Amino acid sequence: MDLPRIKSSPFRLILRILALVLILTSTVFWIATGSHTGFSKDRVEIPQVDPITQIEYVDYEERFVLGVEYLALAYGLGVTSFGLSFAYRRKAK
Amino acid sequence: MQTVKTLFLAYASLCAGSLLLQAEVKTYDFEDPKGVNNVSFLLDAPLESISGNAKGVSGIVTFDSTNPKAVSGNITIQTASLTATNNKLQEHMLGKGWLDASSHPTITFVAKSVSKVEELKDGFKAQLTGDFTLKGVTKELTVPVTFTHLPDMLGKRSNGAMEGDLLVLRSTFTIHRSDYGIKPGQNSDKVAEEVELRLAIAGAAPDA
Repeated sequence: MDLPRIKSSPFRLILRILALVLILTSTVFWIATGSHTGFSKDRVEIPQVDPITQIEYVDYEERFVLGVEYLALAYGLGVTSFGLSFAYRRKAK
Repeated sequence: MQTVKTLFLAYASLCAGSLLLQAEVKTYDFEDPKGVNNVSFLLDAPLESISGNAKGVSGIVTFDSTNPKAVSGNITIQTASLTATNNKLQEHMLGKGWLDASSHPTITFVAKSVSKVEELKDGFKAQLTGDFTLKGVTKELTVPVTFTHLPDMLGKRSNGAMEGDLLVLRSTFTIHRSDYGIKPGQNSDKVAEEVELRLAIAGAAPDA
């Protein structure tokens, strides 16, 4: 007796790959830019000390640092995409 | 003849003493081309912590190292020099709704009196009372200040271009944004009501 072959909907696969890509890319980018646990930064503080007066001050380096708001957004979209993939049922042939 | 000589000597030593005292009073310019002088700010709200820095500091302070109670002067911060680490945040902070930097381009402190002076190894610690103006609202504030006098250190700082003294002022104090009409009672979950200000600035008094 032949068992019915189950074929996945292409949308189901696309949505799951999209979810994986979103979560992995955002996590890698977040780690690569310094695993900053606050909101995103467009510049980074570089602490300095004046050798004569001992005054502490900061210089800024123009560099983007990904914050947790983008990470949360990417995770949210990833989970939504994964959840939506269940709406496309497998078809039995 | 002896009396005249004694009187002359007494007068001469009085003049010398007075000149010495005069020499201690110096005017320090806090304009800083090196970009070291700064005021940092910190707002710690339940949902968001905002911090940043301002380097557009200028001002004149007259200081007598033998009589710190006689200090006078003013410090000005260019509102537009306030810098946060996020562009959007900075835009909002300087915009009409918050600090309104275009209409109120400066933040000032004008010293009026000094109290509770305590001598330190290389300066003084005191309570400085003055008029603090932010967003066009002036309030009298008394803040703790440390004066560090660095005699003959200007040459070292300017690589020998000028000789003279340096005066370092440090102060940390807290203001309430609602006192200055900055969105009183609004957005307190993200923008703290209390603003901690940390001032660390050095002024130069070149030798005449």
